[in-house]
Formats: sequence, structure tokens, C-alpha cells
Amino acid sequence: MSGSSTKLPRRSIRAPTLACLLVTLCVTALLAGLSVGSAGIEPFWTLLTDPVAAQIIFEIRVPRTLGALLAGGLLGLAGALAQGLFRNPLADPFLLGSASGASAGVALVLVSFGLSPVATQWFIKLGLTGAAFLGAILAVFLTLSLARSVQHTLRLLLAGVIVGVVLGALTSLLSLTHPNILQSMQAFMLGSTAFVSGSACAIMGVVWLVCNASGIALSRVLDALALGEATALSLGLPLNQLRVVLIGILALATGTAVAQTGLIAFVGLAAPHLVRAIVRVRYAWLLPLASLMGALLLSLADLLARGLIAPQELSVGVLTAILGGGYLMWLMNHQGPTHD
Amino acid sequence: MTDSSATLKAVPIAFETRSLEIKRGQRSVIKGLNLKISTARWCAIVGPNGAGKSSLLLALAGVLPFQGEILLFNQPLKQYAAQQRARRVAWLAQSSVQSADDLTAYDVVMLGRIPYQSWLNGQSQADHAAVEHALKLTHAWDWRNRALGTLSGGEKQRVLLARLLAVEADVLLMDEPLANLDPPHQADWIQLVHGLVAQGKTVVSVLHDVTLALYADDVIVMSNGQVQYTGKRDDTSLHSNIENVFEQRIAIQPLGSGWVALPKLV
Amino acid sequence: MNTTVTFRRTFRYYAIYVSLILLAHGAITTRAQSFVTDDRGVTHHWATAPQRVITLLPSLTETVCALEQCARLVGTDRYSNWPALVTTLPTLGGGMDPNIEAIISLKPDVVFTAQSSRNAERLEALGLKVVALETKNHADAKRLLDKVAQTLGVAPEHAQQLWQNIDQGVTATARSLPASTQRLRVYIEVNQAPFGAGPSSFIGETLSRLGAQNILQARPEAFPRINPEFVVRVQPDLIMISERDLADMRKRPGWSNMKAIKENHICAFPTTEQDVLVRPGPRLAEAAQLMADCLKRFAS
Repeated sequence: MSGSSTKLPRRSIRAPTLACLLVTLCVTALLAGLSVGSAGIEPFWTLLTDPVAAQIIFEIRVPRTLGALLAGGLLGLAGALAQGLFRNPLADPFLLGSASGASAGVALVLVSFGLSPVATQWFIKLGLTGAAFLGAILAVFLTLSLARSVQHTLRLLLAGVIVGVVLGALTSLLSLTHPNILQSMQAFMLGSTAFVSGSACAIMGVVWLVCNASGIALSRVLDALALGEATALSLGLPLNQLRVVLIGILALATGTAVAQTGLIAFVGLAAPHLVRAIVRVRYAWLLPLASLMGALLLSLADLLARGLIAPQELSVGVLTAILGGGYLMWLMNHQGPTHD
Repeated sequence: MTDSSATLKAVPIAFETRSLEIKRGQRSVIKGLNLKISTARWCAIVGPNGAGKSSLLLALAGVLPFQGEILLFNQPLKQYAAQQRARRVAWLAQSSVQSADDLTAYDVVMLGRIPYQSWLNGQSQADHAAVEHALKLTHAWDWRNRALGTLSGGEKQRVLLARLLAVEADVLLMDEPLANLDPPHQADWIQLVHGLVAQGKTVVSVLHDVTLALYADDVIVMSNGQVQYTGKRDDTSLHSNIENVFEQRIAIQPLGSGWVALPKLV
Repeated sequence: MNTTVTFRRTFRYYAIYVSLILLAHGAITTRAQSFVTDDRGVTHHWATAPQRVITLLPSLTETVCALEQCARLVGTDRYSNWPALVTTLPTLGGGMDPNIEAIISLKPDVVFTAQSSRNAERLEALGLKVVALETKNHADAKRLLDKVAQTLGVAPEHAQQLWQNIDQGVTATARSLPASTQRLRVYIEVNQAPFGAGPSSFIGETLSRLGAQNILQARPEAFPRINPEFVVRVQPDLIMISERDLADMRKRPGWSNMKAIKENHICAFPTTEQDVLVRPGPRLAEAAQLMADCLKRFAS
């Protein structure tokens, strides 16, 4: 990216500084996550002597904390992508119907479970996570088809709303006519890191790397879009193809996160804003920074969810809203009239 | 295609349109338009609102689809690869359409180098040199690290102009480039354009201010999607045509070595 | 005779006569009319005992039928499925989303609903008489029987007898268990999130009456959402879960090594049995029996 030539203008050094800070905080959150559990807060190194406790740390707390970081990272990245693609500060990763698609996928699998032995076998293999992921991806695909082109952002947004509403209605219909799935649906919709496994972390890690790398590579498209679509086109950018690719990255990141941790709201929406409140950067920096901020936000919320009333757990989605929203409010108040 | 500007100067006509038609939805904003824009000259386009001036510029920039033909340096515009065309023709939007408040001036101007950047390489020395040159030409170098959202209207406009210049294109299309600029900076801009034309570049600008348009070498008068008249700035028929197109609400008078268009009070 | 004395005597006779009439009238009308104060504190009166009854919660449906007033039911919610004849009745949506039009068109005299559904005000605004009740523990279940009986004009002794049968059934079941049951530490899961049955819930109460221990501590919340790590840490001797949730439970990270899972000390209840367990109604004794059978299998 930027070289170290003295001819370069003195760029704001706050972006890399913020990155280092966020990484440090994330590592701290990871270590803290190993120490927070059903018995409240206990430094994890003291537990390593007891084999059962050690097993808990490695098999449960490590994947869970790491999962919160990775899922938050994916959601933060997706949120920044969504806000850049649609040039709308209120955009979030679930904009194109991915949330409703994931719910519908989960509901379908739960309902079909037991319909026929073949179906059951298939669905066991697919699992709820697979169903959620497929549902999210297919919903975005449906949105793209409905909008028929990515040319008009408004049309795309409307298609996303329609798909979201229709799939949401389908999910409700399935839940009401098969009340035995209601409990499992609720568990999924509330969102939690409770059962994130090691393999889930591996999947999320790979997806995180892929999405970040490709997002950063395409970030100048998002910057150019800030000058308007016509300007971006006049600069020779194949806007339609690039938008499809970016939406693909968005769907992949969102679908992966939702499949593992359910629907956790607000992380994708708040993370880019939190970053922008601290530094003003172009998308090549905003994407990874929003990702780190999302990771931090979700892992902090998860720590509180686990630790506040241990061994009971709070809903992590509620805590992300309180944390993210509260911090945003504080920032807004402190910036006040000095903000342009 | 890697023709140098010198070779291109040999092509006398930068843009030629034949039976150009541009549709916005069902409506034709431009129909049966034939015009020629000469290389290495400054051409201003004037006309009342809704005449199709902005649409014409968008089509020349390769952004709007059109029927008919547009030739860029004697080659059909549609035959140019997007990146090729982007290096030849740079377009500046009317300043109302942008929301890049977070980007620094430097970053915004660097966006003008997109036609030269591939996905994997970063910003080259040539890119940085072009950006610096462009910012200095528009006297915006001093606040290159300030975010766009913190600049005044005029400062923002100069940054956007610098973005246009950074493309180092042979043809510059500008839609209302003087919005928000105060008279000293308008004068700066006119001098800048004269310098660019001297280098062999072609400048086409849509201007609502007829006085400023009459600083250009050529003027195209448009109304109702048609070209009403094309002429050099001193052409009196041009002046009467302009006055007609504005329904005689302006009067073009000589002033010093140039012309001034004054609103006529009835 | 003194007229004053006569007057006083006549007046006294009159007073007694009128009081007797009033008392008799009161007694008759008290017997014919019903009234009840529900768990919200709202009181409703009926001139005659309600004949057309709608229930919007399975445990309320079962209570009405247990009091042998099944014939008065004109409609239930979609989840009510016991006893079998209830399934022939029109279904009126769920507790959370009742089909208001259908309910009104059935012209019920009373609608029994759960307080937590929060649909009572809506229905009352349309002129219906709604009795909203809540059951969290055994005491609530007993009160449920009493209030439903009171509303329907069933003799209170009937409800009391019914409760006694249930209570005695639970006690008998508890007595039939070996002493080793008391050493069993049990985890009862009611939802996949996971939500467990705490000691203050009716399920937890049944478990403690049967003599076994709950791995969850007493807390005001009946069904707390717990950290799955807690279960692994505590290593319960026995897990009670629905059959449907069982497959996923084994796949939870860190759970496969749990003693209870490795040794398959799990009771997975099919849907019909799960329905009995999670409804705080007249089948509490049956629920206790189901749990006891489970405990017996694993009491060393």
C-alpha cells in the first residue's frame, strides 16, 4: 500500500495506530474470554491443573471466544461493505435479505426433519449451520434476481426488503404450523456463541481472510462510489460486475457469521460508525478496521453475556446493542458542534 | 493504444457525433444531434435548463448509453475498452453529487488515478506525482490531508477539479466546474484551462454563466436536445443566437477584449 | 296493650322476615351466578355459570377437561391436543396470535388464557370476559384448578379432590423410588439455547419432590438460560431432554466427553411425553411418573 518514500504527504498515522490498538484489545478479549465462564471470572492459568477445567477451557471457551471475535469480525466487515455499496450510513449486513434467508433455511430444515428418512439423513449432514448459510446466500441471490440488475441501488434495496419480508413470512408460517420447531427457531434467532466449535472457528477464519483480502483489493471501488456512480463509471470501473462481486463477498461473510452464531444485530451497523468516529479513512483501511472493531464489540458483549450473572447467560444481541449504541451516543455527545 | 498527445493533436476533431440520440426513460433528451468538437481547444456549452447539456456530456464520457454514433479521435467510442477510454476522457460531475466526506483531499485526487491502477499494485510514483501536480495546479496542496467534509464549498470544488486533472486525460469534460468558486478562483480556473489547451488538451465545459462561457474558444448553443448554433466566441451570430435561446432576457455586450452577458430588465 | 310495644314487636318480626327473604334470595343467586378474580386482579361476574368456554393454553384446556367440563369447550388454541376429543374442536390460533374473529364468532361466555400472552386486554376490549391465569409452580397449578372450577360453577370440593389426587399421586410416586435416587444430580433441559428447568419451576419442584437434586441453584427465574460450560463443569449424573433436541446435544463442543453422555445416562422424551412434562396442569402426577421412571432407570 503506501510506501515509505519521503515524497509522500504526511498521512494521518492514526489509522495504523487504531489498528494496533484494536488488535491488542482483541487479544486481551481473547485472554479474558478464557477466564470468564460459568463460575464468573477466574484467571484461566489457575484452571489448567484440573483436567476437567482444562478441557472446558480448550474445548469450550477457546472456540467460543474465538468464534465471537471471528463472527464479529465478519459482521463488522460486512457492515462496512454494505454501507459503502449503498452509500447509506444506516445499511447493515442483513440488508439484502440474508437474515430472513438464514431463518427460513433453518425453519425448513427443522420442519423437514423426520418427514422422510432420506430427507432426515440429508439434513443431518447439512446441519442447521449449513442450512442457515445456504439460506442466507440464496436469499441474496434471490434479491439480485428480483432487482434484475445491480445498476440501481434503490431497486436493489427494495428487492432486499421484499425478499426479507417474504422469507420472514415464510419462516413465521412454518413456525406456526409446526409449533414444535418454535423453541429451536427462537434459539437460533436470539443469536449466541454458546455452541461454536473449533471447526466452526476454522471455517470462519478462512472466510474472514478471504473476505478481507478481496474486500481490500476492491476497496477503491467503494471510494470511487462515494464520488457518485457516474464518476466511478467515467473512471473506467466495470461497476456492475464489481458490485456483484462485492455483494458476493458481503453475502459470504454474513452467511458464515449467521450460520455459526445466529442473528446478532447491531454489530454490522455500529462497527463502521465507531471506526469513522475515531479516524477518517478510505475503504482500504475502513474495511479491516471495521472488522476489528466488530470483533471487539461482539467479544466484549459475549464476555458480559457470560460473566454478568454466571452461570446464567444474557442475550448477546441485547448487549451488543447496549454497548455499541451507548458508545456511539457518548461519541456523538462529545463531538458535538466541532463535528463539521 | 498508447498514442502520445502529440499524435493525437494531429487528429483535428476530438469528438464527433452523428444522429446522436439519448433517452432518459421513455423521453428523448437528445435527438438527431450532429456536432464536432475540435482538438486542443476550449469549447463551452450553453443553453437553458433541460436542454440536454449534462446528458450530452455524460454520453461523451461513456457513462450514458446512446443511439447513433460518437467518435473519439476518429474511433467509435464504443470500441474503446473502459480503462482505455477512462485515460483519454475525464469527466467532472456537478458538485452536488458526492458524499466523500471522510476521504482526505489527497485520497480524493488519488481516485483520479484509478484508470492507471491495477488491482494488485498499489499507488505508483507516477500516481503520486500526478496527484501532487494536480493539487498544486488548483492551489489545494496545502490542505491535502484535510477531510473533504471539513472544507468549504470552494475548496471542495478545487479538490474535485484536481481529481479531474490527475487523470491526465486528453479530453476534459466538466459539468458546471465553477460552482461555488469566487471570482478570483474562477479567473484561476480560466487561466488553468488556457494552459491545458496550450498543452494540446481538449476542454469541454457546460457553463450556465454566459459571460464565463464567452471566454472559451468555441461555444455550442443547445436547447431542446438540439444544437442551435456553433461558433467562435467573437461571432456575432453566435451572440444573437444565445440571446434568442434565452428568450431575449440577456444582452451580450463587448467589454474590453471580451464579452459580457448582462441580464436584460424589461 | 301498649301500642309502642306492639309496634316494636311487629317491626322486629318484619325485620327478621325481610332479612330472611333477602338471605334466601342471596343464597339462591350466589349459587346460580359465578364470579372470579383472575391473576391480573380483574373480576368478572356471570349471571349463570358460563356454558361456552374457550381456552388459549394447553394446560387450561386440560384443566377444564379434568374437571369434566370438556363438553362446554367450543374452541381451543392450536397447541391443545389432550384429551383426544379436544382435537375435533375449532383451533383459534395460538396464545400469542389468537384468531380474534374466530373467537368472537363462537360467542364464548368466558375465555381462559395465560397472563403472559398479554391478549386479555385486547379480547376484553371487544366485550369478552377473559380470565388470565399463570402457572409457574405446583401452588399455581392448584390455584388454576380452583379458579377454573370457580368460574365454571363447579363445586370447589371437586377441584380440591382433583388436586388431592394429583398431590397424592406425586407423593406416592416419590415414595416408590429407591433411596439412591436422592444422590442423583439431574440436569433438565427445556430449550436448546440452552434453557434449564430451575428449582422454582414446576418441573424443578416435581424433581425435588421426587427426591433428586437439580444441578441448577434456586433463583427467582424458573427457566434460566445457562452457560453450556456450566453443565460440563458440574457433570450431572443424569440428563433429561426432549428426543428432538437429543441429536444436537451430543455435538456440542466439550459435551461429548461428559460422563452422562458417554455412559448414555440420558432420558430422551418423545413429543407426547414432553407435552406432559412441560404443561403445569392436571397431568402433573403423570409427569412425575415419567420423571420417576427415568430416575429409576439410572438410580444405582
